[in-house]
Order: sequence, then structure tokens, then C-alpha cells
Amino acid sequence: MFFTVSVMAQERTVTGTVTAQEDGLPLPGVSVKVKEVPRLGTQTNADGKFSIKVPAEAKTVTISFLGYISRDVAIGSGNISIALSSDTKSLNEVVVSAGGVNIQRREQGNQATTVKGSVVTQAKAFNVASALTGKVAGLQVNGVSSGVNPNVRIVLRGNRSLLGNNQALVVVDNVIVPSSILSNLNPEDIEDIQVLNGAGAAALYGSDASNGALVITTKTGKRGVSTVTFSNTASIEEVSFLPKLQHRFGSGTGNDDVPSYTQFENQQYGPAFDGSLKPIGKPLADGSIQTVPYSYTGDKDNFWDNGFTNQSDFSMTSGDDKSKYYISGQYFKQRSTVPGDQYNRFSLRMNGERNIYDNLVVSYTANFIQNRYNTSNAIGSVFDNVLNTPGQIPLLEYSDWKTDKFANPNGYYNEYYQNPYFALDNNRSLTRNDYLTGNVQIKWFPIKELSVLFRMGISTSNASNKSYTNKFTYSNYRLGITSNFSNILGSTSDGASYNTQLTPEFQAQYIKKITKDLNLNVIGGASIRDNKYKTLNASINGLVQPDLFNLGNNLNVPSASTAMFNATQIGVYADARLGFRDYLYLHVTGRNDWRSVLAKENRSFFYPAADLSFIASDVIPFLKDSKVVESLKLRAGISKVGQVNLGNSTNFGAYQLLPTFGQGSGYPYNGVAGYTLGNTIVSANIKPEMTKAIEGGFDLDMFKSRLTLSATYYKTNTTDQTVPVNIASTTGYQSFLTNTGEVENKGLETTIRIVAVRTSDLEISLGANYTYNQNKVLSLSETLPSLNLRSSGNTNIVAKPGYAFPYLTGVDYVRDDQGRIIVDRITGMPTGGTNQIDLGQTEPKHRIGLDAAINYKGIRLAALFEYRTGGVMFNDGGGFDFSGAGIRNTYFNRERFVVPNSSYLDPATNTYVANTNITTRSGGTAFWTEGPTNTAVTTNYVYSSAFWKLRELSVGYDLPKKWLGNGKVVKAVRVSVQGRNLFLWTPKTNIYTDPEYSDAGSDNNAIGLTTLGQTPPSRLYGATVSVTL
Amino acid sequence: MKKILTYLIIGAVTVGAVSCKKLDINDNPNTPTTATPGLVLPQALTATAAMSQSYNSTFYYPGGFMANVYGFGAYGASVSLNYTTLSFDGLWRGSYDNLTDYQYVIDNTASDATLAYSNSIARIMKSFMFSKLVDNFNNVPYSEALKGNMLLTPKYDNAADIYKDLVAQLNISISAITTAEASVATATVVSSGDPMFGGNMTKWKQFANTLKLRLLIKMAGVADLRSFTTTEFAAFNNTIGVLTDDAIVNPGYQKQAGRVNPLYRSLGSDENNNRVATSNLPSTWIYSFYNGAKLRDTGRGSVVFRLFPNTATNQLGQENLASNIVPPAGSTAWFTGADYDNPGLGAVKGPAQGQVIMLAAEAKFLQAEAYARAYLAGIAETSFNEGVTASFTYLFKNQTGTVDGTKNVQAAVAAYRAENVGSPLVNFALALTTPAQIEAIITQKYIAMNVINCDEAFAEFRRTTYPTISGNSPTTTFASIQSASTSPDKLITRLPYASSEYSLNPGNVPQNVNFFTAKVFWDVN
Repeated sequence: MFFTVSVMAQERTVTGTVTAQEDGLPLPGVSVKVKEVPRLGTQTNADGKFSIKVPAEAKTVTISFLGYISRDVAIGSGNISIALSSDTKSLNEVVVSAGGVNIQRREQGNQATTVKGSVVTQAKAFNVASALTGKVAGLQVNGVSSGVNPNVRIVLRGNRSLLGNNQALVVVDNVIVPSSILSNLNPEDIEDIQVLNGAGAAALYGSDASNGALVITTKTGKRGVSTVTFSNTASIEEVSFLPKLQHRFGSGTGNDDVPSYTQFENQQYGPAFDGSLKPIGKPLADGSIQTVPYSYTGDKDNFWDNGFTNQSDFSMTSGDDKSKYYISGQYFKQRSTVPGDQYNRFSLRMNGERNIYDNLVVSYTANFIQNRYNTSNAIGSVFDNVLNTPGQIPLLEYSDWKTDKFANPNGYYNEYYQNPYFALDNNRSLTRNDYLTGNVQIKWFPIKELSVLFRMGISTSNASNKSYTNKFTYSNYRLGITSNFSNILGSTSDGASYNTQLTPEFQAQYIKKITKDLNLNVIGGASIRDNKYKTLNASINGLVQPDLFNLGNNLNVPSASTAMFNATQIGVYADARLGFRDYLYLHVTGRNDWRSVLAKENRSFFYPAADLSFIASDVIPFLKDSKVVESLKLRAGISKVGQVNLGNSTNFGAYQLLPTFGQGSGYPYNGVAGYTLGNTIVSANIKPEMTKAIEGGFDLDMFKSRLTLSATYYKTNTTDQTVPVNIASTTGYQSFLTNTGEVENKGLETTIRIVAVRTSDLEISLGANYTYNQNKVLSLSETLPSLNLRSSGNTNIVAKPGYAFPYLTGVDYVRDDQGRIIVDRITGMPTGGTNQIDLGQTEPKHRIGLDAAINYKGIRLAALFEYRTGGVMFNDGGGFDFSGAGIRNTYFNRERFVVPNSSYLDPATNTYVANTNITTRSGGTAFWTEGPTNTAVTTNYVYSSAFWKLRELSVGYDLPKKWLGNGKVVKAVRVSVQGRNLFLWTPKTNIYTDPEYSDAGSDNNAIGLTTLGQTPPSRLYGATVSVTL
Repeated sequence: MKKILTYLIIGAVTVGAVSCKKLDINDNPNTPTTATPGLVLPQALTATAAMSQSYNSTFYYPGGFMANVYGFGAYGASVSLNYTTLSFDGLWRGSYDNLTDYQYVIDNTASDATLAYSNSIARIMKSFMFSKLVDNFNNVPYSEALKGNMLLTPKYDNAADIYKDLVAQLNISISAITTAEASVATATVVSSGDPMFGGNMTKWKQFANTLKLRLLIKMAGVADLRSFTTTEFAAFNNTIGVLTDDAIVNPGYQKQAGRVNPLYRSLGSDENNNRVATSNLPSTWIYSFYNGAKLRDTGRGSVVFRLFPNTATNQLGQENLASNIVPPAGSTAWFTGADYDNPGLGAVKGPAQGQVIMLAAEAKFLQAEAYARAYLAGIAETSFNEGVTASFTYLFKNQTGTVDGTKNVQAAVAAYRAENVGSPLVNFALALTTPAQIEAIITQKYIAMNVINCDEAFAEFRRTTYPTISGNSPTTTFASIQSASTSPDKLITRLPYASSEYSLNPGNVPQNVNFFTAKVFWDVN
């Protein structure tokens, strides 16, 4: 805070202006009191100016404002300048708690972290979710895929629900929104994000809060100041990690005693590269054939483009003593590393507030976002094909498939797969999403202690998409030589959907100082949440003409489908905080929900929560007097929250209670219907899952906030898991929806921050957060030994009692009792077993975030590292060995080998004898491409998912004010360069991909499976210029 | 003040309470939650037709009927027979999925005597599907299967015990139909509700009886079961007899996505004239029963194979010949006399053809075996000849089910006998011993089932060792030259259990089953 005072004699009038130090902007509403005459006081006006008449004895004024450190300023002669730091760390900081209620941090009895907007945007991440990675203890953010606008999974305090949603609830400006909004928000609009780690803190949100919450507040204006900011960020994106490929062998196939070259073969079990000229493919119709040097081109490593992103922002904030507002716009454009893929996002925001009367405030926020995707829907198979292309193929020469005869499908060398450039061009998807979120609110103070508010929130998305495969007719010549090609008939599909959520809410708050020592803050409210979704899809197969992607351009009968879902939730809640002498706070909340998606008798359920906050440093004498300890808060909480896990963000869990029938086997035929039973059975009595949680911790502030420490221990137990359990098909069904089992999560969230150097020119701060989470399935249903979440071949992600969750199981080679792989005495070949064995938990047990920031004369350097360890993962890499492209199948130089650590059954003694000399019958296809010997053995493709990542590195510079003509026109200019995900370090055994990836997508708990079809991860680096007027 | 607060809270609660009506919105507007047995049964029969084709195609390669196209690699387990538990997971799950629908019909018709027909049809078909499971997997969940959430991990029943109960279920069905036929209250099954026999209950009884004969003949070779089979054979109802027509499901297959006949979709083309089965050739082995290498069969060969007698063939596992073979442009692949838009004859007739559940030829060959082995009283040669004739008749039919005008079945059968005048495999009178007669019967059954019921043909091969194999030349064995099998004949003896059972029912599914050596209970060789 910066502040000037002018002084007059005797009965003087003291005038001054109060500004915030952060941005130099005036602060309205600041309390100015005369220390010597406590009854005298005033407030700053909209311009941050105040004026107060003081008597002669007045010597000091106390300037105080919520969220800033109060200071006493001597009334002297002439102007006095004082620079004050803002009070972000102090217990007096005002934060938004659940339900949109403003409280001081000292009152919070649960773990909560505030992430400032400037920290969110420090590396200019274009996705708010990924901008939080590594920054908050207990918050795990996984980028589960790459490409444009990649999916991000956000989990607080581990996975509680076996199959239900474990992702944090997202609240924007007091309105619950679908988590898809998070990856579409303009990060520049964010004022701050409150991360409420546990269910207790968020209990007021009811049944959605068991996963913790991200409470996002967007910027509103500031009274009395107008600023306009323009900025532009441009970044380059490049692929940062590719699977390890072999560079030694080219095309050739089986019966592999002597590898022979096959010119059109995709499998790479041919002879070693020797640089000689070899034909590839079959002769074209004109008799020509392509000839290439038989050596590794490296083209498949260079298939990826450099991506490019550009983000242009402007924002304006203004206000007077009655109102304030904030408007912003952003245009973001991304060109992917995948050739031809594009994405853009356009965002508008208007936030505002106005005091209609002294006791009536109206406010509103409105945010419109649209995004547009133009992507290939063949990208998964294309990536797979690129990786599995034989090494001698000059892949990059085939981009011009329309005119180049060797790139054209009629002349392309490969007998099995399409030219990847052709596949990308020929299979496209155009997606359009429009989002509107916002709320309007009226808040009325009938008396000073009571406020009543009515809020209407909306979150609606409107989407459409068109995808197509273009028609391609092969030449008769090509069809005549390649029997497994047939003409591409072309298809197109059109879909449209809307998804609307309305959230009217009523809330009353009563704040009263009951006695000198007791403060009461009571809230009561009711809210409704109404969700509607509808989708309509139509498609045709077989285009009359190429290049025309309309449903009318059809050769066959179009097919169409529609689905609609509607669900309502009604909640009534109360919340009370009792404060004793500003150092002891008891907080209790209770909420009852009624959910339409449950059976009538199970519809209503109640969630209680309580927490306690104790400011020990204000009470215990030795702490109070300590020069070292600034503050110490002890806190503890207990809660019970239910979650209805029946559905997802489009079906809301509606209509899941009864099994369904559908037409099957081609029915209807000629007006006759034929039904088949659905494959899911449902327990008659589905209830919500209940999470009981306790937590306790402390926040310690020492050496005048040079050292801050906080630690939280938590334990959650989630019972009555709602799970559509995969069940053996011999039951007649494939899944069973029921309440069963219990999952426990225990963990520790710790944060330490040190300001190592703090001078007027230089500040160096270092921070670390460490999260430990261990979860365990305590029980499942008695009839169910384990619960299957996802499978890839023989490999499963399961939940089973006594084990962490999710857990990887799969098959291993058949081994003897000493753990040696048993090989056949004659062939030397091992065999994969049939039993599922334990392979490890797939979520990291330990996570560390490290950050460092250096501020020196307007230059700010910030870095963020993240480390995770304690988990394993599986890559569906069998395809790599089947094709021979991966590096594993060359570990023994494609020669016969003795299986390491193996034994064989000696018929003479009937015991297993160490194998030192029996080599495998084959070191080629008969070993590497076969399921039992290699590709179907899970353990060949399991590795540690540990990693270190340099998540963010940025350097920014605020141009000195004097260069800008002292702020007359241009108030500030900032330039910065930044990088994201710059480096990734993984164990050597990870030869596949980013350990954060999940084939199951962001909404699925089956962490730990990845495939070759997931496009490679990338790093981004870029530069930003920002101008404030 | 407190009053205001109280009012507000009361108000809020009232809003909640009043709005509870608003919560009665959970009726599914998207999919039905109820159905009658009459809506489920026809679909179940059509699904069985699709499953029947899945079993058929499973044995294209290991049963000796087809081979890979040479010049290509990467056939993997198809030619090495190095199957994993994943290989037949879909077949397993599809079978039980289909059985669920029958169980639903049985459960929802049991209490209503007027629905005895639907009940019996479902019971017969349940026996049919379970017999397929047993024939390929031996012990499977039966008594505890299909109970939904009542029993999530069903035990595996002894295969022979399952067979005994299947016979019992067929007996129950036959007598239930007979009883119901005497009652005017019995609800008839409308023809559209029965895509197999159009509601003809006489045919259902014949089918049940034929299936029972198939089961009993398989069981009769097992010493322990002989007293059971003797009793059952003694009670065999010859009045009902066996199938006289092919048991065929046709709900109205047509050239449309999802509605093409499953066999045609597997070996002919899809609804968009995309040729399928392009990487398969007829095996040199099966071709030897048509081109004169073992038998000459101009009549059937010319309708079954394209370009007969010059069809390209291969030995299973042979990948390394220098070129690959492509069927003529504009045609479907190798197993048809027809092209995309011109339906033909043979096994692969056209997209609208019916799907064979059981051939009349099989019924006759079963009868011939029962007579030859004196399980039942009758003349084997008559039934044998009727079987061969029924096979010709089926293959000479077009996709609408009528014998093509240019074909004369009786003349073709006579020509066949003349072409193979010295062969006891064709001229039954030359088969002088019971083994020779059985060899003739089973070999003819194998030929009749070529690409139609490969699974049953291979099952009968395992039971009887006919047609005889020896050595490793393309015409003396159908074993893959890349076979990883550890058995002397390089073949498989059964299928491995499904991976889903190892994942989801691990306490019950037998571990480490060796599908090269472990035998199905009736496989006593």
C-alpha cells in the first residue's frame, strides 16, 4: 500500500490517497482511523482518496483494509511515503469459502490453498487445469493425452470412488459448472482459485463435494480506476518424447531362420540394413517401382510438425463509487503437432457489480466461449502406423498423395495400411462447442446483520460435429494386385447436442457479535440444480460423390439415433460459524439433498460436517511473545458427504436403475422387432456412496513470513461404492451395478516456503510441496474377488481388497518355484501363464512440486519442477513387437538366445534345472510376434511410471516506468518468455510414452494403461508482450 | 430478527418439499425397460444364427477347411495355433450373452402353460448352445450359470453331466410340445416370431430329436456313459424322427448394414460390395475331396468353389511362396459361384440366404451312424445316401431356398457315385466293416459341412479321427506347417478358456489348460 498525507496546523485536515502496492491502483473503502482518537475515522472514496479533520493531539493514523497489512502512519509535516507489502499470507486474508461466503483465513478449519491469477498464468498455460499442475499439495493434475486442447484429469486426495467420478468439483463465481469448462476458461480472467482439498471444506455444495473443489473467482473491476491491458503470447510446440524404435532391420516376415527381404511387407523381420538399393512395394500400373537405400531414414521420428499457438488478450476494468465492471476477450489459436490439425477458442467475459441502493447490490457475470476443432479422427491408427512403418521407407516423401504416384493410394508401397498423410486428410472431424456460463445475483441487506441473496446460474453448452471419411476408388490394377484392399465408400455423420444446467439458489446470512467474545455467522439456503442433455446423431455410409459430406449424398439408408437425459437435485443447507475472541472458530454445516436419479426411498440424504480452527499464536503466551513465530493455526475437520455415482456429465445418472432392452442381431427386419436383454443388471437398492473424512493440520508462519510451513493429515473412507462391476459373462450379464465395498485413502499434504532473500531490489523464494497418498480397497462384495475397471488383452486394471487402487494385474511367464522362467527343453521357448498376477499400483504414491522465483528489479524468473514416483504402468506395446518396429525385439540382435533367468524340466530328475545353453528355437517372428512367447505376456510391457518434469520456466521483465513516460499513457509494459513441460526424465525402462497418459481418458479411474495410438507428448515455449494502458 | 431467520429457513425447506414432485422424472425416454418373451425369442434365434457362424469360422483354419494366402506374413496364431486366452473370449461371451435371452424367455413363460411352445423352443435352443460350448471347452458353467447377480462366480460343471442334462431338457421340451399340441389354449408362435421354423412345432420336435441323437452318439463312445445312452436310445422316439429339411434361420437377411447373412458376410462380401476373406484360400486338403486327389466331386465342387477345378489353394502356414493370389476383380472371394450383385449357389449363395443351424444331411448321417453302430434299428446305407442327397440339395439351392432350375440333384448324386465308382467313401456298399462305414459317414459329413458347420465337422473328426490324416503333405493332413502344437498330429484338441473368466471368475475356471492335448469328454481317441 502506498500512501501520502498532507498536513495542516491545529484542527487540521489530513488528506491522502491509498493505493495497492501490487499494481499501484487506488483502493476505495479503506478504513482510516486516528489512533489517538479511536472514534475518529473515515473511508477512502472511489479514487482511493480520503480527507479527515483531526485534533491537535492526533499524531498517527491507522490505515486498515481487509486482506492488507494494517499500518500506522505518523502525521508529520510534508508528504510521507511508505511502501507496504500486501497481506496475502496472513490469517486475515479474505478468501471465498464454499457457498460463495467471504471469510478470513483464520476461520478456516480445513486445508485450503489460494492460487493467485498471476501464478496461474505465469507460464501462460492455455488450459487452467494444466496451469495448476505441481502447484498445490494434494492436487494431482494429469495430462492424459496430447493433441489440441488435451484432456486433463484433476484429482484431490487420491481416488475414492472405484468407478465413479473422482475429479474435483469446479465452481466458477459461485456456480457449479461441468469440468469441461475448466479447459475452456480464459486463464487471464482468473482472479484466484481456492483449492479446497477435502470434502469437509466443500460440504456445503452437497453431493458433488466429496472430491474436494476448485473454487474459481474471476476478476471484477476496481472502483475508481480504469485500466486496459493488451497482451499477446506466441508459442511453439514440439514433440518431446517418442517410443524407442529399432534402427537396424527392415521389411521381412516369418519362417525366419534366414531373414529374407519382402518388399511390400510391413513387418520388420527382414535382414539388417546394409545401405544397398532395394525396391519397395509392388510395381505400379505404368511398370515403375520405387527404389530406396536399405537403411534407416529416421522419417518416422520426424513425421510430427512443430505446433504453433497464438493467444491474444485484452481486458478492461473500470468503476466508480457505485459500480465496477470487468470485460475481456481472448482469441486463442493452435496448430497441432499432428499435421493438419487445428483448434481455436474465442472467449468473451463481462463481470460487473452495482450498488442500486446502499443496502441492495446486484452483480452479474457472463462468459461466452466457443471452440472449434478441425482434427483427423484417424490419428490413433495413423500414429500406430507411422511408428510401425519399416525403417527404410522415406515416409516424409508421401505427403503429396494427390499428385505423387508413389504417395497415392494406388501406388503406395504398403500392402496393409494407408499412407498416413492420406489417412489424416481422408478422415476428418469438425467439432464446434459453444459455452455460456454466468450468473445474476441480487443481495439485499434488510438490516445490517442480515443479508439475503438470490442467485441464478446457468451453464450451457451447445455442440455440433461433423465427421467424414472421403470416398476413394482404387484403380482396378491396384485391386488386382492387393486382395485385401477395397474401395473406400466414404461416410459422414452429423451430430448435435446441448447440455444445460440451471442453478437457482437462495441464501440468507446473519452475522452478529453476540457478546464481546462471541461472533456468530449463520447461513441458510436452498438450491436447485436442473440438468438437461440431448443429442441427435445421423450418419450415412456410402457417398454418391466424393468431397460432398452431406447426409443427402447417400447410397444407403441413413441411420439416426437420439438420447435425452434429465435430472434434478434439490438441496437445503445451513452453515454456522461461531467465533470466540478471534482465535477459536467452530464451523458446522449440514445439507440435505433430494436427487431425482435415485429410487424414491433412497432419494433423500443428509451430509454433516464440522471443523475447528484455533489460532494458537494468539493465545499461548510463549508463541504470542515469540519473535520467531508470526502465527500458528491448528485446524481439524470431520465430514460425511455422499456422492451419487450413476452416470457422467451427459446422462447425470438418470435412468440407470432399471435394466434395458434393445433391438439386436439386425432387428428390425421387415417390420418385425427383436429385443435382446442389456448386459447390465442393477441392484434394486442403489444408494449414494458415502465418504467419511477426517483431517487435521497446522499452518505456521515464522520470521515475518520468511518461512511458512503447513501440513495436513487426512483419512477418508468411502463406503457403498456404486459400481457397475464387470462380471463373468457366464452369469448371463457383463456388468452389475451395485453398492459394495470400501476404499480408504490416507495421506499427507505438506508445503514449505522460504523467502531466502528479501531486499528492496531482490527477492528469492523457494517452495516445495510434498503429497503422500496411499489408498487401499478395504473390501469388495463377498462374491467378487476383484473388480475389473479396464482391460487391454490379458492386462487388467482392477480393484481388489487389500491392495491399492487402481491396481495393475496381468499374466507373466510360467515360472518355477524359484521364480525362473520355465522354457521348453527342446525349443527353449517360454510360455505365458493364464493366471492374473499382481504387478503394482498405478497411481504414484509420492508427489513433489518444487518451485523457485527470483525477483530482481522488475525481472521475475520462475521455475516449477514436479516429481512423481511409486507406481507402475502398462503400454499396449505388443503391436511394436508384432511389427518388429520397437526396440525390445532387437535386444538379442534377432538371434536365438537363452531366455534370461530361465530353467527347464529335466525329465531324468523331474526337477527344474537352470537353463544356460538352450536357446530359443527362433530369435525372430516365432518368438517376438507370438502371444504365448512374448506379446501376450503383460510383464514384458510393464514399467515404472516415475518421472521428473520441468513443468514451467519463465522469465518476465517489467519495463521501468521511466521508459514509459512515467505512466501518462502507457502504465506498464511487461515482456516474458516461458516454457512448459520443457524436460521429462523417466526411468530407462519407459520406452513408450509420457507416464501421465491414460488410454481411458480423463473421466475414467482406470489409470495405468496406454496404447501406441496415443499421440506423443510435447513441450511448449513462447514469448509474451503485455501492455497496460 | 430471529423470526425473519426462522421464516427464511421454513421457506427454504418448503421450497424443497414442494419441489419433490419435480423429482419424479426418472422414467427412461431412450430405451425400453420391459419386453415380452415374444419380442425376445426371434432375436435370440437370429443371434444363435450369428453365433453358429462364429463357431463355424473359428474352425476354418484349425478344422482344415481354409488356409492363409501365401505371400503374406503376420498370420500369427491363425497359423501357429499358438492361441491365448484372448483368442476365443468373444466366442465365449457371445455364447452366454445369447443364452441369457433364452433363459429370459424360459423364466418368463414357465408359469404360463399356454406359452409352452415359446418355453420349449427356448429350452431346445439353450441345449443347442450349451452343447456347442461343451464341444469346444469341455467343462463350463451350466447349473450355476445365467443367474445374474444371484450368483456372480458360477462353478464349472462336469461336461458329461451337462450333456446328460441337455438330453433331459430336450426330452422335457419334446413332451411339453406334445402335451401343448393337445390343448386349444396353447398360444401358437407366429411365423415372424420364429425365424427358424416359422412356428412349425413338428419341425421343432424333429430338431430337438436330432440334437438329442447328436448328443447321444457322442456320449455313447464313453464307457462310463453307456448305461445312460442305452436307456435313452431305447426310448428314442422314431415317430418324431429326425430333421427332413435343413434347420435354417432367416429373419429376412438382406443386403443392408447389419442385416447381411452372417456366413455371406464372412466369405462373400459386405453390404457395400467390399470383398471379405481376401486373405483366405481353400485348403489344399479340403480341395482333395473335390478335385480328384481323393474324391472327385464335380457337382458340389463347381458350386462351392470359384474357378473349380482350378481354384487357388494353399497348405495352412505356408507363407513364403513368391507371389500372392487375388480373386478375379469384381467378384467375391473363393467360396461362391456368385458375384457381388448376382446371387449364386453353393455354401455362399447371397446376402439374403438363411443361416444353417443344422443340415438335414447331418441328421441323416447321424441316423446312419446310429444304425451302423446298432444304437438304433435301421438301414445305414439308406440314411447315408439320403445324407449325400440332402447335401447336394442344400448346395444346389439359391439364396431364396429353392433348387436352381438348371440343377438336377438326383442326376448329380448319380454322377458323383459314378465319378468315384471304386470308393467306399461314396459308394456305401463298398464299406464292408463298421469302421469303414463310419469313415464313409463321417467323411461325407465333413464334406457336407465344408464352410457351413466347420466346428461340428472338426468335432466329429476329433471323436472319430475321420477323415484320416497322415504325414505332412498338403493333401494328407490339414495341420499347419507352422503349428506350435505339442501333440503328434500338430492339431488342437479343444479351445482355451476365455480371458474374461480368468479375470472375473478366477476361482472356478480351470488353470493352465493345454489345448493341444486336453480333450473334451467324448474325445476318447
